[in-house]
Amino acid sequence: MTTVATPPTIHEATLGGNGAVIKGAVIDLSQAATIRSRGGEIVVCGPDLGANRRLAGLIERNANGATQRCIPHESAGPHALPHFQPKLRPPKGHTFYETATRRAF
Amino acid sequence: MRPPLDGPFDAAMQFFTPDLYTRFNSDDDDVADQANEDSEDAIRAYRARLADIQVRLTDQAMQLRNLCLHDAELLSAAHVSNAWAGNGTAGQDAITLTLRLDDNVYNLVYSLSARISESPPITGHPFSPVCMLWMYDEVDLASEAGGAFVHRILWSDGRVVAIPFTSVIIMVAPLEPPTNIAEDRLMFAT
Repeated sequence: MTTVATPPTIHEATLGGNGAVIKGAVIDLSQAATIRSRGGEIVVCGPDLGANRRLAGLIERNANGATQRCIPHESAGPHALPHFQPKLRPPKGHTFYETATRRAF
Repeated sequence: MRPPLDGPFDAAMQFFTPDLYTRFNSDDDDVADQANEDSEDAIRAYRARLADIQVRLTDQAMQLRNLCLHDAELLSAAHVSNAWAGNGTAGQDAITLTLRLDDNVYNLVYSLSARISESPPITGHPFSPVCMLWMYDEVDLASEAGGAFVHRILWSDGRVVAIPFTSVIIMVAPLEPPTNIAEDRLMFAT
């Protein structure tokens, strides 16, 4: 019996307290790149860390070129998520992604 | 006469190390997955360390610990020898870091307890020499004897700077230009 992997979904996002990332409407790849190029926040959600990370990186590279991947910021709070961001700012914002233990709200 | 500062202090991140950050940015899924687990271990270990020393941190050190300056750009670092001396007394050395983050400018003014030290920059991805951005930081006791603290900062060029301090003042100012202020009231207007 084969297992069908659940593909990640991309969401608009806002920032909450204690580092929380609050997911909004589902968006597609093109909408995600547009939001990121304008400095907004998005989050990639799903059960597969590798798939989430690869998709988040693809979006950020499409939107903003050279990227870096950041460890959750301890000082932001316990709900912080790892994320991609441009190597050089601007634009502001982040492409967050879920892990096995860190989830968007 | 002012006593010389001890040091240099060890400039090595204890938890959020340049090596961890490099592996976290790996294109190799296995390496990145392991680094993800290691980053969770680092976060847990740092929180445990902070819990151990929390009662020995001053309010100022706690404020510094709670400050999130990730992505802040270093605008200047000004070292002042024998700062705040007066009435014939010796003053402590001080350093002021000026940073820009989003729409605010932050000034962190440290009274130094020992000499600042720094490790060399690191060449290659994910580090970049283009500008100095604040990546990760750790607050700790300078020694188990207490009374002084150390703030270690990993910058985007891979450099780690260790600032041993006894007190720190944090000032924040918005970047928006002032409005409704007559030009002749601006002291430094040209």
